[in-house]
Amino acid sequence: MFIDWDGQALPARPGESLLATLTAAGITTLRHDGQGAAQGAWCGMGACQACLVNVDGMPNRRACMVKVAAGMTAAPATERAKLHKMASAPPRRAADLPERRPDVLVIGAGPAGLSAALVARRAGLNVLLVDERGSAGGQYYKQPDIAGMPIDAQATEGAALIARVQAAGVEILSETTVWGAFAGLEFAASRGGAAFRIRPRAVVVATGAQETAWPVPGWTLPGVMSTGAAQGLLRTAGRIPPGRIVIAGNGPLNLQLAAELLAAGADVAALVEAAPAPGLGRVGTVARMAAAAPGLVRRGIAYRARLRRAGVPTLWATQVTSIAAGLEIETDGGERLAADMLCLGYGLVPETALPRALGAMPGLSTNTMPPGVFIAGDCTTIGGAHVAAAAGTLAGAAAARYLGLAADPGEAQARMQRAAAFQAALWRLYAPARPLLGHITPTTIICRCEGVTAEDIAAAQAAGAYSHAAIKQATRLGMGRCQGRGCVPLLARLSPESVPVGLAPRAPVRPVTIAELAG
Amino acid sequence: MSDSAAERTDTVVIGGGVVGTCIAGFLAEAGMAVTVLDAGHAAGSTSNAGSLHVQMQSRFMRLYPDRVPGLEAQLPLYPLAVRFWAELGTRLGLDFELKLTGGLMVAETPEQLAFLETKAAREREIGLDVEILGSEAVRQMAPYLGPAIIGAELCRNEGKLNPLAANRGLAGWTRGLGVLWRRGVHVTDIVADGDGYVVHSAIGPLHCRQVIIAAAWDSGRLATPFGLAIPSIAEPLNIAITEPAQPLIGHLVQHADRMITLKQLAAGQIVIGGGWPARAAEGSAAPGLELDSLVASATLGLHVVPALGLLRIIRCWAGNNTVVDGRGVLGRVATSPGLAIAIPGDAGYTLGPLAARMVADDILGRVPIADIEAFRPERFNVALPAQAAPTRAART
Repeated sequence: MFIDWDGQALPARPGESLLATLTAAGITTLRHDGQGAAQGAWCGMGACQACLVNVDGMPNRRACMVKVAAGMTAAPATERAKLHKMASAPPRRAADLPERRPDVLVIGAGPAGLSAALVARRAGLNVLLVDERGSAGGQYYKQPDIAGMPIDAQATEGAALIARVQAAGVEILSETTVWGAFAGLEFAASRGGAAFRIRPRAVVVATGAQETAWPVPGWTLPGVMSTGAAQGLLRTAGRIPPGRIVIAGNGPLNLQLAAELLAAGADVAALVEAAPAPGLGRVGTVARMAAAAPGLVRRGIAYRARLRRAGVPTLWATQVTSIAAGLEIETDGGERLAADMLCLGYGLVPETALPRALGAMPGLSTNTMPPGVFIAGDCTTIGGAHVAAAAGTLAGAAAARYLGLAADPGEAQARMQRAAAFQAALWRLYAPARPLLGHITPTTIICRCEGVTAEDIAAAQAAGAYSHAAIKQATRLGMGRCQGRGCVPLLARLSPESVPVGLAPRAPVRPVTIAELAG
Repeated sequence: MSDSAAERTDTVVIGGGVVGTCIAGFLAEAGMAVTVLDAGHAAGSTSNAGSLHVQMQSRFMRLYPDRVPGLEAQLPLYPLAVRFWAELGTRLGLDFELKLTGGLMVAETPEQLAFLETKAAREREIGLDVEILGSEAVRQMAPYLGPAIIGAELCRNEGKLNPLAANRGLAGWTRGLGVLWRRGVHVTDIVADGDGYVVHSAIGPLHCRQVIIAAAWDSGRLATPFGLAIPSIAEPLNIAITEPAQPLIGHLVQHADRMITLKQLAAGQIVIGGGWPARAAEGSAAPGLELDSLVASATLGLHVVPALGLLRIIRCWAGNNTVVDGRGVLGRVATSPGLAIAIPGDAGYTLGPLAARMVADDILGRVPIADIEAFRPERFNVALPAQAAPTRAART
């Protein structure tokens, strides 16, 4: 199967994302933004809006979320969308939208959402589980998009959980984006180009997390993508970027990606890890982890062995400090690395847009949510898949109890404690040698959507912008398509004295076409 | 803190929106020492999206029929106000991205067109430059309009600007004049004190010679102790914005019978508003969004301009419009020397700089740039309790 990219025929695999096709073909520049800067994919999971392309005449589709189809014509998105005359549609009201009224709505089909849906369903409730991706599983239990692709233990574990959820009678709606949450447990979603309303009696928000920006010069260059994005292309489509790959960041996901890319035949040039090399001083920590989760520790040791066998150097206690076009990478240890693809994995930020729309404040916990709203997994605090799964079970059980039914969370509380202990030990092991601050120079991009640099922010502050809202008005930071998901955490660091108000994403928390609203 | 230890300044402006900002600037240009107390977190109203309105908005006429006479009294100010915006930008060397592309209020039925004809006749009497366009003419002038549109009222001196650029530029101008800005300051009350006033807030009492209340919907509350019952109310409204599109819509587009304001900013984004409600919020929280307002305004936009279908809405926000009696409340309070009110009235952002100029002229003893008499606060006078304006002692 072939698709047309900007006049060029590219081989594509049925089922894969357009981003997978493009990445495998070595195409990293997907468009140029309003300031003329080349943009490529970053998050790979639909959140950042960097990978916009035009597809079959439709402007601004996310390459990471669009599935290829025979005869597809795609091209770089233009800075300003080209509009076409369309048939006129009658105006309508929210009450005209199709409506779903499940007992429980679960948003996000990762470990937390799947677990929550399962326990709520087993308690006897009618459960609707929605997820933006093509198949359930979330980022951790990513399922292959390509028929017949070999899958590993992690995906198999996910497939088993998904099968249990389906067998229990949970309705799973994939390719469904919940883009608004409103007072009174009213949700707006889109599927297949049409919007609908969901009015559940209770909701479990399990929207996970996305990779944090790594603010160094050049971090928005095409060819620099998040570790999660690269892993997604590999695990869903078996696609690897051509050329030399450098993986940099902090934490086990980067090691896992390096090992998986090697196994898939990729050319991994180096792993750059902010934590120091594990030494004798950490034996105790590893022993405690092995006691808590022997399988995970074995897996980590195997990954490391694979890197050693392949002769891939690991630069310990090292951080990327700048990236030049090409890609030429510099580290704080003074090393220079050349790569065709750089994967950055410096941590995750919770996706909190929906709970915040329901009135939760940042730093949210399930106890402070409005009645009927439950929240679980990495969208609360980053704890990893196993903590999320247990938290999801507890949240699903709490939702069932809220609706007056007995629900059995089993050993979830104990599982969560064990997983959290393991996670805590893991983070002790991966404690970075130096704080993870990036390397912000005056011209470093802070807000990628609007091209706002550190010096733009400094100028606004010098001109009297004292709060985050004032900085937003002065610079347009956070006004772009991702609504501040990438830049607001950075702004909080650059201007900690500012009053942090008013920068939560608001409906639509994902862009929605006007035609979708018209049905 | 005792009053004797309180801060002192000459002039306090309460409210850092476009009105307060401009008054502060005009008074500072006349040599006054001005402090602006802004309860918000940034200069400028959150409700405005840059429309420059001149013709009567059908929405206002429908929602507040009893206040139409007030609006008519104010109507001559709108063309002046738009011109004043343009002249202010030129005089100060500021680029507000102002474009006077004209405004179209569209009609879908003969009844709506007849309504526009009556409205246009009335507006022409008052001196507005308006014209009714039939189906052919409107399609020629605005080929982007959908097939449902059979005519429109054209008002040539309507247009739009970029409120972010305008607010930023104007705030910078006041700073250059030495205006002191205190942001995030919510004024609890104003108390007469000798021949001046004390303004109370979390930053402590502030003594001054004169106070200008330019606090939009909150102005009524602050003016109450001075014998004024100004019914200023906040009307939270929903606004949606799309990602940038190629130039398509030049005009400020409204509808004769439905609530919509639609325009394309210089950077290409399309802004859809027009008065759909947002959910009022408690305290200082931002108003909440209503799904119905987003769906209704966006699909109405699609109905009027069918080419918008594939465009994505990237963000909504809600802000407060201020409603009084259809007319602005402008000028010195005769019974309280040193006190002035500045609420511009409907489409307050359009009127903002002109209204500010009128109030500043009144304070400075100049002949106002436009006749202010019909807008004076005295129409809201109520009998005060015997002890006249309260003192601090009376308050506690």
